[in-house]
Amino acid sequence: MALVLVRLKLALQRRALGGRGIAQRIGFALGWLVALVLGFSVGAVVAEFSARLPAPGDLALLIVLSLVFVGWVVTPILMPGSADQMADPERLALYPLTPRQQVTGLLLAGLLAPTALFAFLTALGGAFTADAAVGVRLTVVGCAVVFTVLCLTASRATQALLGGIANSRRGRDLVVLVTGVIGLGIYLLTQDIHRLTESLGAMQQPSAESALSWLPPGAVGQAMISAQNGQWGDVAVRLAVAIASVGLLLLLWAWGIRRFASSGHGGFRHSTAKTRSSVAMSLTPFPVDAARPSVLTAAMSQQLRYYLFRSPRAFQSMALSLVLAGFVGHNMSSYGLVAESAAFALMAIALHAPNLFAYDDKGFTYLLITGGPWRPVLIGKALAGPLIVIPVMFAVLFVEAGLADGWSQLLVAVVVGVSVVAVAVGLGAFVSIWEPQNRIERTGGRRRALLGLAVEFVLLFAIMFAGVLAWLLLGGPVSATLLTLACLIISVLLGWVLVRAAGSRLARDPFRIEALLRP
Amino acid sequence: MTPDRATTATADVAGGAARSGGNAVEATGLVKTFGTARAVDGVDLAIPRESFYGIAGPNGAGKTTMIRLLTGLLRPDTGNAVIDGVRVWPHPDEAKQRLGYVPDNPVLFDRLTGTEMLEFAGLLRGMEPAVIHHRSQELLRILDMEGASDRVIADYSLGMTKRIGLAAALLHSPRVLVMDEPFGSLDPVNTQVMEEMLQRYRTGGGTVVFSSHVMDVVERLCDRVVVIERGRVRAEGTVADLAHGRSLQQAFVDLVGGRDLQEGELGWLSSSSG
Repeated sequence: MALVLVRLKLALQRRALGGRGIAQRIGFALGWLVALVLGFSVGAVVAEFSARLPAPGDLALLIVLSLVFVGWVVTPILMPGSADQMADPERLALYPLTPRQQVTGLLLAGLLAPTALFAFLTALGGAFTADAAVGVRLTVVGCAVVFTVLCLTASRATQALLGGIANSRRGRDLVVLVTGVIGLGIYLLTQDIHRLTESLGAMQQPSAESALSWLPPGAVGQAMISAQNGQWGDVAVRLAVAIASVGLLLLLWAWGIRRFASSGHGGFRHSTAKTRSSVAMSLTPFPVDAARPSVLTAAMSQQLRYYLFRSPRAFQSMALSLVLAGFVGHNMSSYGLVAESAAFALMAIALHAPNLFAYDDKGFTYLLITGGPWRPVLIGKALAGPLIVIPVMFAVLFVEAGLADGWSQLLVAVVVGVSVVAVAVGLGAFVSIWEPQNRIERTGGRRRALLGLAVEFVLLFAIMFAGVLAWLLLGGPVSATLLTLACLIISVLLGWVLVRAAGSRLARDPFRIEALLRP
Repeated sequence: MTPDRATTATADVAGGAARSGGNAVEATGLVKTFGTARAVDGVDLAIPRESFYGIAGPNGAGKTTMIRLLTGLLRPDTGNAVIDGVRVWPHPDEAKQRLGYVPDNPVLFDRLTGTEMLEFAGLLRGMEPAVIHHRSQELLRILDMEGASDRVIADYSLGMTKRIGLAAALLHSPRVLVMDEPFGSLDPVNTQVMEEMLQRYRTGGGTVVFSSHVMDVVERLCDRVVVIERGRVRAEGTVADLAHGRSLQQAFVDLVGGRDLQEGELGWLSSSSG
């Protein structure tokens, strides 16, 4: 059965380009050639680096192997269409194959791919070092095989867990969130590559090396390093870690396949038992569905759906503001993590908080028809943005703290970021009902909407300035922890009061807003 | 707030249903002016409970404006409306709890799916999730929208949008259902289904008010009809009263004045002309 899947794999590869004839054959050969050249080059460079500068070279090997491994894992998440379709449990569920047969066959078939060749050659670099003994070379070859299998099983396990996820609402929502966080993380990593190389050169991060060497891909790398140093006991331990990880991943992969076979969908759908509500609502995505369904959660869910791909304009606005926030925040990093956090929060939330009804188009009239409870509607919409921005901000700050060794500032940075978001949301709610603009049909006072945005920024800067001033004045007599806590409480309260007041004002005259938004 | 609780909480808003007697909807001296144009000019109406009430009139007669005044979407210059015992002004939101309204071109959140839209509508009305789920499933099935319930409304045809609009308007089981041109863009099967639904709704104690240009639908369904022309009530009564033995279409044309083509006009449309 495994051979059947191997043959299937080869056939799929040949037809991967979708066409017949010379172009297809060239494409097929080119894929392997690129993998061969690239894998050999990366492996050789790392090996050479390791031979000339042993200390940073070892860390470079660990980092390269970890990055290759992460690439294998995130590919099925970030680009589901590019993952190996043969390993999709939905397709193989049509055939009478046990999970064990599937895993074995797909594992062997998966090794016959340019990507696997690239992973193997990258890890194999150490085997070519000039003065290595035969035993060391053979060990390195074995490690490279383990590394390739590790990458493959991790990727396939991820794919099996994501299998049929399009049918699962919760799964889709989770993938969107994970994708966003990973995407932003990668962006920030690339932004900080110079800092990474600096620390490699200066060998300032032995703790990072130690941590990496115990993670599965790093353990393989460390086994190679230990083999070259003659520390065979360590080789055995590190390889045991890697092989155990492969075993765990194989079990996870088989579990994903079994779960699909028994339920017909991926691993994220709820069973029939529900948490709080006896009925699952399609409207409310994760994590809003943890709360009791209400007007507030309905409005929040509706707004979240705009941001998460339903409204291209809303998604574009959110994505752009996050990228912009990442860029501006990163450029503030020289002033410390707290300044970076404040800048990120400001740019991420302040651009779309002041136009909460922008994507409702004719829908606002529906609210008028129902006489919708205005205040909870506004609060729900206002809270949707922070639900995306705050987790992304956490991720960014976490990565930045790791890169700049700013762990000591992390808590204060997070609190300051959340505080800025809270105040911006409150001010934004007020601007939203002062001069709204329909961004779908481009109606509403554009000039005044821009003025509203400017007013929001000015007020936000003024409040932030007052906060910084208070911090500096009180910094001596009052403890930093107390100040941080007070900053958070005051900001959240201010934001809450502003949003509620805006809701009350909206309830007094929704007709004015409707007239401005009407297409 | 659930509709039931809304009923209790505002029972005395207009002295309760008793004040409006047996009428589900009452309008007194409604006037609305846009600039110099008087769209609605002193309309008085009394729409009995559990009735099918038709609003007819030529294009631009002021039907939609009057409906918007009745449903609390527009504030009248003078006069007022009462829905199920609740004065629309100054209590438009209370009145809307008793109303379901389907505009000519339904205004919905077109980036939500059909199911999500109904859930949103139900939560806005303060309904329990289990009730929302049960009712929306039933409405989607009856309106033949189950297959499209997971598609976003932006991808719906006008007929499908109207059906979802109707489902959203009926979900909270309102006392009065107001519809603007409900049967346009519906195919014959869906027209028949909607008619049956509305009949059942009326049997259950609901009142249906709708505007239409299609006189045979008005004639077939309605107990009473009002003909509006230039913002004023031109005629009001039972279908039989207005028809006087003619078809309602003919009676309407006679009432508002028909326009006959003169002989020779549009002769160039003839295929034999050069």
